[in-house]
Amino acid sequence: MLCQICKINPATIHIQELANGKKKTLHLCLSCAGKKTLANAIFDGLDLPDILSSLEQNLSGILPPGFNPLENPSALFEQDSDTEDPEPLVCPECSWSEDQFHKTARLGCPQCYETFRKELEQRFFEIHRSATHTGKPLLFEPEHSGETGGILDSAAKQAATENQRRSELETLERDLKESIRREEFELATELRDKIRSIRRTLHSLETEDKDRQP
Amino acid sequence: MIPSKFPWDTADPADTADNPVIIASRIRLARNLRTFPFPCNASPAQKLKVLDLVRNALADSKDAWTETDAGTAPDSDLELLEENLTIPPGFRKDRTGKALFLSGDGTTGILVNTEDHIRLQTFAPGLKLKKLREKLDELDNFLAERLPFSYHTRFGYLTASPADAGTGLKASILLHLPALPLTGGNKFLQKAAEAMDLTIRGFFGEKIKITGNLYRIANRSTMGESEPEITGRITECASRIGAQELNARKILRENHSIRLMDFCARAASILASARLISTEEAMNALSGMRLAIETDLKQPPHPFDWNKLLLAIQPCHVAPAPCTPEKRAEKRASFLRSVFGGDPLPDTATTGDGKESGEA
Repeated sequence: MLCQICKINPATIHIQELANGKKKTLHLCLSCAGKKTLANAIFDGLDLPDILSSLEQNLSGILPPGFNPLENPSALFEQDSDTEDPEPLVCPECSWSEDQFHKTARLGCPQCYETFRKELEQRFFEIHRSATHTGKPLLFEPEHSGETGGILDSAAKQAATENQRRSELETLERDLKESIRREEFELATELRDKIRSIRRTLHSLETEDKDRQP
Repeated sequence: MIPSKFPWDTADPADTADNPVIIASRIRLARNLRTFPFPCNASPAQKLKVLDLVRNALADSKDAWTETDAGTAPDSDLELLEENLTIPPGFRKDRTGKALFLSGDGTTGILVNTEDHIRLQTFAPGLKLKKLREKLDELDNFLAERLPFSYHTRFGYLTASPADAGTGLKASILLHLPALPLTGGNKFLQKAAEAMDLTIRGFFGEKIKITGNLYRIANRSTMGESEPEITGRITECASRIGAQELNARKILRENHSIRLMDFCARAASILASARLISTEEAMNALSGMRLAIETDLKQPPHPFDWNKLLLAIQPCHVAPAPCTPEKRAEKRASFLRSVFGGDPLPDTATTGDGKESGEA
């Protein structure tokens, strides 16, 4: 079912309204629902925090981290909140610039994958529908280690399991979106819980990683 | 010595294709050394160092590798290798540190300092991605033991282009599909490729126009799937497309035989009587001839080796540079008439090459 306001996005939120004693059901997408509840709150004096908190309860686990409409209602309108222009990135290892990366769609050196990591993760999703390698791991310790870089560490073998978890996470996230689209909410809740538990494990692994490599 | 055959054209009789539609398989693995910038950002000295490291690593190999150094090899050799599909287009540009190491049988190659530091590639006739993957896996392990490959715990093997990162594996299948376009089955091809997230290109990797009804399907994504998953997906898609092509041929034979006859007869006439023929026209005509032979409309001339013919009509195989396109077109036409003879016009301009060979 498509959103009744924008008629573009799939409707994932269903709001029942009482108008002139008649019950009316609205099927909306997340973005239009946000606008709609805000507009209602302003014009009809509805309890905005109440609506938003119920929205949040329904959607927690689906919303991106840091997206909290209770604390920041404008997040409903600007999901990509990074609007400030940061300094253009340059790889400290090989001086490859963000501009060169964009123009050539190539990177300058292996270290660039860390330098441009944020953008790369997004690109990986666009190109590969995934940002996690689940194939053959590098099983050999290089004899020439320590020259430059340092991307490869002794955890390479362990990473294979970690990557499997990430891949599982990606699949679950896809399934979650699909289940919401199909309005199978019981399944969605189940998936959300699974996603949370994997995220927790991965997060603790990552913190360990950072402790090891300051 | 440049092998005058495509890298999948092996003499091994066990290698002959089961399905005539599926011509060849190819797998490529991209690898880089983590201690150097990628070739697009490396100095000539760094590229030469990378080449040295690869050469030293291969010195331990039990296989005999023949090195062709782009810096010193004559243009004519590189042109032939490019037409063989052994080296990629663009290999002749910016040659410092670029090299090809070719295995004894010519099926496996190691390209150094092209888009990535190292690209391993191997070919086989027919649908043999599994076999090729295992073969490259072995070579990859051999090199990984000796060279500091760049590997990221999350993103996998790092490559100059993010589109190759992860497994670094691109697998492709070369298919000959003349009947699908004749029956409007192209839409199926596009749909199948889209559904399976594969790319469709032409024989030389061209995107827009397909020459000689030769299609290459390959994986688009290289991350998020294991190597066997990628090759499995392509194998499945190629078999399905292959089956559709055979089905289209059956439909043509049973219901539209005049359309099939027309297509093949035109191709045969062009091959038998053209005086000037471009590479593209010759490839298209050879496609029709192959279809005629495979649908039993025509007996193949003796000896008939389609792979060899396809290569022999490529510009630098017809005549080495410098040569004008018209001179090449004339030589190409003359060569094809000598194979497919039966010319309706008496040949006065060139020397006796109009052999009769059972043209219907």
